[in-house]
Amino acid sequence: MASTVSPFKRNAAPAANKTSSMGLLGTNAAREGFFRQTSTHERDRSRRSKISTEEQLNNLLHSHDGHRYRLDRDWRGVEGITTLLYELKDELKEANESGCRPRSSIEAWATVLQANRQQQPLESLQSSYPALVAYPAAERQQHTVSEVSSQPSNLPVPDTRATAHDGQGARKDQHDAQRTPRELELEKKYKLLIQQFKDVGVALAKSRNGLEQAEHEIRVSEAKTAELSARHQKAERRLFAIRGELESKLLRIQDELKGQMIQLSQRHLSQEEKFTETISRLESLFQNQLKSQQEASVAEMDALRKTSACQRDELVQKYTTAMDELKRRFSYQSEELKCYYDSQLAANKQELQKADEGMRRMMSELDAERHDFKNEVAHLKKNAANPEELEALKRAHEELNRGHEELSRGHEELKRAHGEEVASVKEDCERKIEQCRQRFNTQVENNNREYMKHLDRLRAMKKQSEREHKEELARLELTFLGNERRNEKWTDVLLSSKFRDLQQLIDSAISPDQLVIDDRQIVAACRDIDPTNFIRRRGASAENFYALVKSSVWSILISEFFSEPFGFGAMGQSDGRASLMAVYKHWRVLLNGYHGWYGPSPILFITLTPS
Amino acid sequence: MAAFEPVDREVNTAAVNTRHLQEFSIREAIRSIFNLLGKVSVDLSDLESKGSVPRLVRMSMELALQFGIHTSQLQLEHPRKQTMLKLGSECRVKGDDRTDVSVEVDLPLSPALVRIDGEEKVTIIPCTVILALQGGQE
Repeated sequence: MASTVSPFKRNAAPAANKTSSMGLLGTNAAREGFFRQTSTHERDRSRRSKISTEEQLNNLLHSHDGHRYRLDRDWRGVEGITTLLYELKDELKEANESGCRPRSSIEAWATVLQANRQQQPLESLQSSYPALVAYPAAERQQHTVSEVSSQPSNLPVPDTRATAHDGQGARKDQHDAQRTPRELELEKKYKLLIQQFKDVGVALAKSRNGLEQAEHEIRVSEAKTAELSARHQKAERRLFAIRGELESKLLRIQDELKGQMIQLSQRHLSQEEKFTETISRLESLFQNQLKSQQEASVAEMDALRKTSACQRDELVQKYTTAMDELKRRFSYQSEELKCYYDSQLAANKQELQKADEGMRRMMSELDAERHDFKNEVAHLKKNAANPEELEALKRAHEELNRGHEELSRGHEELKRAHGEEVASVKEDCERKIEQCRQRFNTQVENNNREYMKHLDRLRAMKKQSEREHKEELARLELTFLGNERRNEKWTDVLLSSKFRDLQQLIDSAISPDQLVIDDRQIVAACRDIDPTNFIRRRGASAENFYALVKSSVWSILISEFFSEPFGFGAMGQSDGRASLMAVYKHWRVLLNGYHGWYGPSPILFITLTPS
Repeated sequence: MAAFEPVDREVNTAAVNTRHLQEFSIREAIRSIFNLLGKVSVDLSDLESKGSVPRLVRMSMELALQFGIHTSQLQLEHPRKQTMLKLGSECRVKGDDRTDVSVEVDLPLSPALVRIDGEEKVTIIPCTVILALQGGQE
């Protein structure tokens, strides 16, 4: 059954499609021409929907006509109906898909047909109508071909339907005799179908009216849109003008902004320059201040030191002048006293000499008298001495003796008095001298004490100022030389300053302030500590002793720490150094074997430098 | 340890060992200096109380370590008797301001700090000496 149906279906369906698509094309082109001017979206959409409905309507009309025509022709065979059914079903599907209005009637008709078909299978139909079966297949084929060729020219119009109907009616009359109730029923159904088609035609006319109305509306709206578009163009023109204005404004603003930017950047650059200038100025100022502060501190220290030295010098001078004056006064007084006593002594001596001279004179006189007397006595003795005269002479002699004795006594008394006087004067003088000396000594002691006190004070001041100076120096050194880190190498300045510190420390340690050297001990120890016989050569003075001890201390330090190159001496003289040096020697020999291991090598310095 | 940064445990122990060595050598130096001073003085309490000797020994140890760290080779030179030195540049004498005069050393008071740059010696700080008497007085 399916094999007999398929050719109809296959040929009829494309034909219907073709006509519908052609109609669609024609209307489409016309619509496009018509609506070319409209541009709004809504209108476009409505137009599209309108096109689609019209299209469908046209389509449907064509297909209805085609179906009717075919029905007329294929009336004799139920197969034709079934094919129609299939075609209608397809059409229905299409209509369903496109959602078109006359679907319901076709659907109803189709359902009726379907129901009939189910109730009365085609086989039974064929068996009951041999004429239908006898309808040659070739003729059917020809019918379909002619139908396909005639279809485009045979577009259906409502008027042609009646003629077709008449044709059908005529054919119906021919077959009336052979009709069966089933055929009659079918005919009824067909009439019903025709009626439905007519209804559809009415609906179509209605819809066409609607379409016309819609077209009218479209035209109105088109006019509106034209107006709107004119307005729109005007507005656009205005918009363009405004845009141009705005753009020019924008350009102007941009230019202005650019100018401002350039100005700003220039100002920024100038400010930056100013800033760097001020920074450099501040830096220089800061450095100057630092320098000036350092200089000021150094100057202050120097001034302090100078003032303390001046004060000390002044005090020493005062003290020495006072001492000198005291000494001078003392010597002057003693000189005066001496002069005074000397003059007194001289006067006394003169007196004594005078007295002596008188005495001597008297003695010489007495001697002369005695001589005279002796001469007289001798004369008398010689001239037979007279006893009376002798007696007289004796008396005279006694008198003389007495006078002599008196004189000598007076002389003695004078001498004693003189001695006493001299002694008393001497005593007096000595006492006075002693007093003077005591006074002088006490004053000297007082002065000494004061001087020592002041000296102590000055020493303390000096120490303090020295300490401060050292601290200040250390601080300055730190600022100058950077942070002192033990692991980093010292600069030459720092190195030499450290070395000088060491020198000063040793100088201060080996000095009479801290170390008292015993002369006998050092002379005894000279055999150990003085291999060059320095003391014997230069004499045993304190200066030489201290020099020798200082030299020896340095020798010890050098032998302990500095006797090996590159700081290996810092390990001391123990086993560690020996092992270190052994390694170093090996390495050195490897490095330049032909030299001794001493002697500098430039490669070594490069390799030994710490990174 | 001054000269080495402890990187790992081995190096650390090495640092500790070298530290011990240093302490030992410092003790040795202090001992020998006091030994010397004890020979020439009866009373060392003043010197001991001020602690100058340990200080100067520690300072010289640090100086020696710096000799090891420094880029150039540094040396202390303690001239011997009868060495001829140039006054001013190589040695100094207290109360003698002459320069470029070759003099004979009798007793060195403090050594010179010398830097050896390749083949040449540069005296950074000259030594202080006592000069030999003129005319060969013995």
